[in-house]
Amino acid sequence: MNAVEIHNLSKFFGQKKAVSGLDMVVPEGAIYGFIGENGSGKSTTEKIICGLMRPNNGQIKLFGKDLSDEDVRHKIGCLIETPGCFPNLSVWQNMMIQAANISLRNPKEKVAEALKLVRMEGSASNKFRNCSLGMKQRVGIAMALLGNPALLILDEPINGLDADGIRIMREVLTDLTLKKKCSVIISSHILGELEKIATHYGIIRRGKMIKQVTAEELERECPKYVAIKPLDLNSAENLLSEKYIKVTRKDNFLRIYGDASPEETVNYLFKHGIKVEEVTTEKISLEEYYIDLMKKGENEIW
Amino acid sequence: MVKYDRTKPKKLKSMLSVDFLRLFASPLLYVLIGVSFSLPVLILVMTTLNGGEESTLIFTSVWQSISSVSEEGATAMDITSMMNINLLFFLTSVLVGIFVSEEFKSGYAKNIFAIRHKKGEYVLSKILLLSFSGALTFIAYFLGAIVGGKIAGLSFELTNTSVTGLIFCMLSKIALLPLFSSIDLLISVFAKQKTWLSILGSLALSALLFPTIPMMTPLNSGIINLFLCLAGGIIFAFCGGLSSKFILDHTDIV
Repeated sequence: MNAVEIHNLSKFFGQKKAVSGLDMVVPEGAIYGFIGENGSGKSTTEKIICGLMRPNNGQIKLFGKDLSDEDVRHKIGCLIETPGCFPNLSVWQNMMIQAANISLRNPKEKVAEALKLVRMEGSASNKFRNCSLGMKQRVGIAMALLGNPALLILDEPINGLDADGIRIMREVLTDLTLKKKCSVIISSHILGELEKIATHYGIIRRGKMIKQVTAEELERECPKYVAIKPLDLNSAENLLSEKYIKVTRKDNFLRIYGDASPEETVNYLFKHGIKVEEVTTEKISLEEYYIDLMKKGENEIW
Repeated sequence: MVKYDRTKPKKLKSMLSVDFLRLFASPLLYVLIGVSFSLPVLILVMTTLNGGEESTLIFTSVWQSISSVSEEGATAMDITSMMNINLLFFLTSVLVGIFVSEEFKSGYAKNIFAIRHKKGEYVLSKILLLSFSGALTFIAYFLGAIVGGKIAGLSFELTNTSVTGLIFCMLSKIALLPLFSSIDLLISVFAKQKTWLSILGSLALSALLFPTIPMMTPLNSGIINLFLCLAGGIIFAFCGGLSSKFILDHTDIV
């Protein structure tokens, strides 16, 4: 069963199309990386899935049931934009309020667990308004995680988190999906982090889904290349361009796409008197794949 | 099989428990109770600081700060019928405006409506809560009036009414609170994050209904007054609540 199924979703703000004919499928247990530029419609889509915005068009099903079904709605955990806490209340009180909202069993125990998970157990008595941006984000994540939601929707959750916070977040999400079969939709501009955990990707541009792929498909689609750092960059680039179909330059490195092997490339340059400082085999990152797709999409979509 | 720790929301009960927790943790409630208590003290003491000549006194009895006897209140809109406990209906508007808009501004409303499709419980819980907090301010005002009257040396004598009339008068005013709370809530869910719009809109609507309060709840009220106020309160709360629910159902929460 799919956790989320969206068909032909549209949302307009006056004349402006925020989401236009969007289709989206999030399988159960997936970590779905939802990627797009600012204003592409990610947050709007997430708000619609959470029932916070009314779509102008389209069908949404959560776990095979309609969005208005109370049974599925109370299984959603979300962090969209802000954690939704009262500044004059303590972290603990805010957590207890959310625990009461979702009618959590053993609320004190579960709240303590969630705070411990995000390393906020020592700050439970702090007023929310006195928390730093990163701490507030951790509280928001803890609130979303309360009671093991079946579907977790996180909008830019790692914004403001330090390295430790990002690592914890990664571990928690992986653990949730593997052990508790929770499905996660996570949008982020930090694609390097997303690449480490996502099992599925959806790329949205100007309100339309332009690509949905699994991590395996993406792996196949992302070409490998040999990256070398020659001492004489210009001569090496000229030489390699004669031999290989695609050679590009990035910083002090040359990238050779296709069937080139590192040994063969280094030997070839050595024969022509060019010394090489470094050589590695890599594949293009999600960020590069995304940027490339955006460039292509510019012409295809509009 | 995955076990979820969440259970189906316990409808109104969980919503009310959260709202009451928030209300009692909010400094706003205590500020409003403080204001409600201080207001009659200030009014009664300040208006008697004129040398004590009885002919020039604005208030001659403590109970004038609660309400007027029916015939007077129905026609005369003098300072005593304006500067009395009925002012608290405006204070309720401020309370509702700030309390509800804070929920939308903080993002708390998102947390609620992401897990609840039905908005009726939210509306009902708010009307009950805000009527309750309104009742607390009325009690504080009543106590303030007694203290203020003592300080100002005003008469506690009940003219043209009785203790029962006074009790029914207070109960009738409290019974009107759901009416005002539901109207204020309607404006607030329409205004959402805009606190200023919520407060101004609620104050404007309260001002429209304000002249009817002295007629409905005179100092010599009886069971009929209470019944009418209760009926009005329930009918308005129902209609206002339905309208608020309609707005929440048909507009974006964020």
